[in-house]
Amino acid sequence: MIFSYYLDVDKTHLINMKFNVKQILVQNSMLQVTFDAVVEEVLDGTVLHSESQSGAFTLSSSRVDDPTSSDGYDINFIRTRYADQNKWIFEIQNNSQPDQVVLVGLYSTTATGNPLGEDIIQDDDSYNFILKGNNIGQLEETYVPPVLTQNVVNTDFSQLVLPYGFTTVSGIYDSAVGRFLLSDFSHTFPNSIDPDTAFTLTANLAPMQTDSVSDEIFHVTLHGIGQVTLYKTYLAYLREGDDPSNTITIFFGASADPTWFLSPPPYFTDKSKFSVQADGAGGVTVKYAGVSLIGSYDPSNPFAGVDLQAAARADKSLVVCAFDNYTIEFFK
Amino acid sequence: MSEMVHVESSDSAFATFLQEYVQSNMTQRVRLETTIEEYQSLRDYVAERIDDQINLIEQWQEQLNTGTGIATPDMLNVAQGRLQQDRDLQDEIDRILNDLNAHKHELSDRVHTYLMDLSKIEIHSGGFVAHIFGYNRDVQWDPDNSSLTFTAAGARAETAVSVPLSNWRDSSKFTIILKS
Repeated sequence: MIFSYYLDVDKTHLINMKFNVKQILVQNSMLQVTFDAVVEEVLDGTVLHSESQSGAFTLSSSRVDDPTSSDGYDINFIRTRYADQNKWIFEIQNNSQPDQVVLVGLYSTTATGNPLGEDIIQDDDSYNFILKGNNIGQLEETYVPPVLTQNVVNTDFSQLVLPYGFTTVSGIYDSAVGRFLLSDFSHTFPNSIDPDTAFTLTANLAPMQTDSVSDEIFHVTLHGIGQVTLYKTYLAYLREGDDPSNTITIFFGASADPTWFLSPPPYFTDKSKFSVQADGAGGVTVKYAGVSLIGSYDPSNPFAGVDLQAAARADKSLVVCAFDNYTIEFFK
Repeated sequence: MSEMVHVESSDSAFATFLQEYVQSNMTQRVRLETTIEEYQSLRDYVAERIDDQINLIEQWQEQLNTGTGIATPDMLNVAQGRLQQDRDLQDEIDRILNDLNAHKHELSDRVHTYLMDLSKIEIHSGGFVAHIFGYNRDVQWDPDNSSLTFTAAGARAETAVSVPLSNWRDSSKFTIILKS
């Protein structure tokens, strides 16, 4: 089912909150329901942004035989609009176990103002339902909106679908493994991540050669934040706009080798996990190749995109990296 | 004190009036939207027929010009007449759609004005306001316990949102009915 809030009379701009049932099982006169909770913003038929969360509830048995006779109900659907923080929050609560809650929310600076109305739509033929206690009201004064995790990108490249704004000149899709082999990419986010906002970036990133001409193997630029460079014997981070003499480094004590990252190929090792965590207040932690660096960045900058560029080898070709499981999330 | 009681009772009578008014307008709105959808699909159908007719006329014109095929000037005239009829029909549908859409916008404005008054009264006294629904034929409304039963895919209930709040909570209690 869908709770669809429309922001214009012609219903071209929507916030949809969806309860997508994947399976209902009757077991020992209990209902076991598995579902996805989704909040999405739609404009002219295009999904601008979507967040989802899966859940599984066991619903109390008392109502299974005759759901209409009971005063009870299965699930509480709570939709909260917190305009002060640009949030739309969908909470699904199991009535027989109220501590079981699935929460998913959308942070949107484009869906502003109050909706004009709400459609409640049955889009699934596999079950019918009753809704009661439908009302809208004020939040309690003590209400504190939750911090929402928002995905900018989340892909395991199991299919050849590039994230929006992602381009690569050298990239070759490795369909057997479901990953990219590339020497460069450029990723400009459809919407920059706001200043003063915590975020994490993770990916598996494995150079398949470490015999570059220069000491550098590759570097990753985070626009608005800084640059991470893998050298043969150390990892480096330089804050954006900072003097190179302020580069922070940590040495491996050995020379980087492709087997550090893929062992046995095509399997990624723990060392191949590239992660950047920014705290929204100017602190950043970079982890890669088994080491970590703590640096700083200017939190008043938006985070607008990521580039990767690999270094050249003796035969003029570029170092090729295996790239997979690319995720960027921010927290609002 | 007596004056206060007087104000409250007139408030509640006003609230009842507003509820009924919004209810009837929401029902109209849902029906209107179903009608608009039907006219739109009719319009799509006629547009398709016009395209087919144009293609056919071009073919026959070509046959007449080259002296091949089955086309006769009479057949061409009939086809052109049909095309004109469909174009007239399309204009008529467009005119109706415009009217219906204008009416829908009008209804929405009206609902919002009245609903805002109702929300102010109800939220002021109880903190929340019960939704007033319009619904299509696959939804059953039970006034005794204010419940909506959704009985088929495509079932749709619609409520206007008009609250004097920018931060709010909208809630519904849901019960699954298994299909046998």
